[in-house]
Amino acid sequence: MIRFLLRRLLGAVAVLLALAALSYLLFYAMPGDPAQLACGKGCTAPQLAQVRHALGTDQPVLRQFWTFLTTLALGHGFSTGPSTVWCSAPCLGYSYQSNESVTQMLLDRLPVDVSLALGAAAIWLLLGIGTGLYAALRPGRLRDRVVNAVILTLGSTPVFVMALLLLMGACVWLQLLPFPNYVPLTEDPAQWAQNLLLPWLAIALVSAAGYTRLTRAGVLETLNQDHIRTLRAYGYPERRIVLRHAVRGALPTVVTVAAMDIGMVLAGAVFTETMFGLPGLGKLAVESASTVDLPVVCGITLLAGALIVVANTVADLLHAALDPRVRI
Amino acid sequence: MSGHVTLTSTEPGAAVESAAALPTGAQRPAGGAAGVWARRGGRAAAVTVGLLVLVALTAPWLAALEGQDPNSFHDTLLNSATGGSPNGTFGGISAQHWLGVEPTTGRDLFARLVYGARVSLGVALGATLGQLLLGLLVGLAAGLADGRRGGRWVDALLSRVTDLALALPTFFFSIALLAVVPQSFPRPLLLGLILTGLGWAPIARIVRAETRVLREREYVAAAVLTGAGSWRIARREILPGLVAPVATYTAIVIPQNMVAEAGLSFLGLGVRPPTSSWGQMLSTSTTWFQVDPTYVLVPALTLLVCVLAFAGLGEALRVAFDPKSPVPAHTRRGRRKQAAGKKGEAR
Repeated sequence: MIRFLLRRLLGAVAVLLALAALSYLLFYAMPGDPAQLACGKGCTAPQLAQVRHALGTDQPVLRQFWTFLTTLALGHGFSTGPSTVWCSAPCLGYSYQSNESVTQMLLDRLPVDVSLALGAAAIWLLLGIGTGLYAALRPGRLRDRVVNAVILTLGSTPVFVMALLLLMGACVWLQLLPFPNYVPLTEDPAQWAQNLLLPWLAIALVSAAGYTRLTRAGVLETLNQDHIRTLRAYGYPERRIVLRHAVRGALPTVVTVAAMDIGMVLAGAVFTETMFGLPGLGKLAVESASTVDLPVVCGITLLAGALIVVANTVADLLHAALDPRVRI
Repeated sequence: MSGHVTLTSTEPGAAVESAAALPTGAQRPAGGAAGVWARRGGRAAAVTVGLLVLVALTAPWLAALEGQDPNSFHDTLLNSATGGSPNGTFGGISAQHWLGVEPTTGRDLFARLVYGARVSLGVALGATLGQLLLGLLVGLAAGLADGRRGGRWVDALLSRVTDLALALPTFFFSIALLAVVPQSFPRPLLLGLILTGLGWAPIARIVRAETRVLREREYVAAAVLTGAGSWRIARREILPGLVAPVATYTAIVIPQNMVAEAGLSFLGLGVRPPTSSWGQMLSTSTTWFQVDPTYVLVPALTLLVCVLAFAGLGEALRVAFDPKSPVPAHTRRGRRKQAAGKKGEAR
């Protein structure tokens, strides 16, 4: 266990280092000059040189990368004219656009994605496992085929099309809900849930398909195994066999995939956030990309990578916990 | 202890692993196209995909048939009082403008849609082709590398690079790249290149896994004995065995690429007006969904139908290549086959 975690940690650090290097090289060694971007239009040559010095872009690339890494790990003092600002430990620098600390910007956005991911995951798990079970109980029959067709359709719908259709359906034609407008959970839980309902549905309806398939396949496979035959021979009620024993067979994969999917949503649900105007990481990524705000883009890429790596590790641990055949 | 083998299916390429686990076409060489055609769903999907490709290829003639072009403005058809929404019902649908016109500009939607098909399909198919080539090359090189001449290092290096490419948050990378590359670079080409660069890894993984299995077969050993070189073995002995898993995965990847292109254009990072793609059309339409729902539904439903058709084709291909799937009974050939099978049993 500890050896596994250690190895995973080393692997994660290696992946993140490579990711940092790649994003750094891509974004800082690109033709666009960050100093020019930070300084804005109508920037005079001496000003430009000063900004360049403040950003450190007058240094060689390797040295810059080293500074970037040490800043991230240890913090760094930034001189803004006369005073010096200390940016503490996980320091990703300052936004070119708003001069805010990138770390703070990311922390501010994260709760939105946590709300989004957890709510959506609850719905897609319920929906996916439910429909998967429903289909698995009568394989090859009409209900199986209907579920398969519906799920294939929902699952291949692009999430932004789904979001758009939901928005048009619920807010314009049926007028069931007002337009979503993010309210933090701490402010008003009822409003929070109401405003996130459509975003949750958009993500969940598209994602549920995979879970339906996993559940269906897992349950069908387990139902053909010897221990289920034995239970049937003992005269266990079929209901109990399915709910207690057959579902177990599908559970490890479902939970593993769910952990990874939650990681993906946490790292920023770009389309859902853009479509519903939720102030999350994905929206920030798009905004900062369109204004070429490199520190923010770099920070989000790294955070997204880190979240995905963590989610994968959690997925492996959960898989091992749920499936006694898997050892770590 | 070391859970490396048991845990591979939970790595980012989980879907990939299951696709790699698909049986190879070796047991059932006549799977492919005939198998897809024999199934009702597969046939419907194949016809739809064929029609869409035809629409993309004949876009200029289709627009000429309608008598419109995708870029000319029609101010007279717009209602300036509502901020430029089209006159008439359903977004200004008329005999001249089959799907109505675009708000604020009055550009013809049908013409933009058929021209947009060229970008959407072109980028998706181009990117898929690029991913296939790169994935096949890397996968074959890693899969065929053996102990001799430092082959193990080649395999290890290529596999780690593949792992890294799989772990990248691809979407953020493409957003960032699209923002950084200067506007003068042709966008459809850039989209294709980015999607290729970020999407080849799953294919490389499948190909490597399959190659490892295939190269242990006796016919490959026979080829080695006759003195065939690596390149010849890759081309003549391994490649035919890769057709089933790679074709199946390709059919999954095409709609993914199409959605990725549409998504990036939707975010305003892909093609820009006056060039149209379905994602670009959706992108500009989102602010109009209250006033002019037709404008939203036209690209949204087209994209949906197209993605569904490709997904259906992929599903049909997967079923066709799966030796466990039943022979389709509702076709004449299938019925004959089943009848023949039963006769055989009786004997």
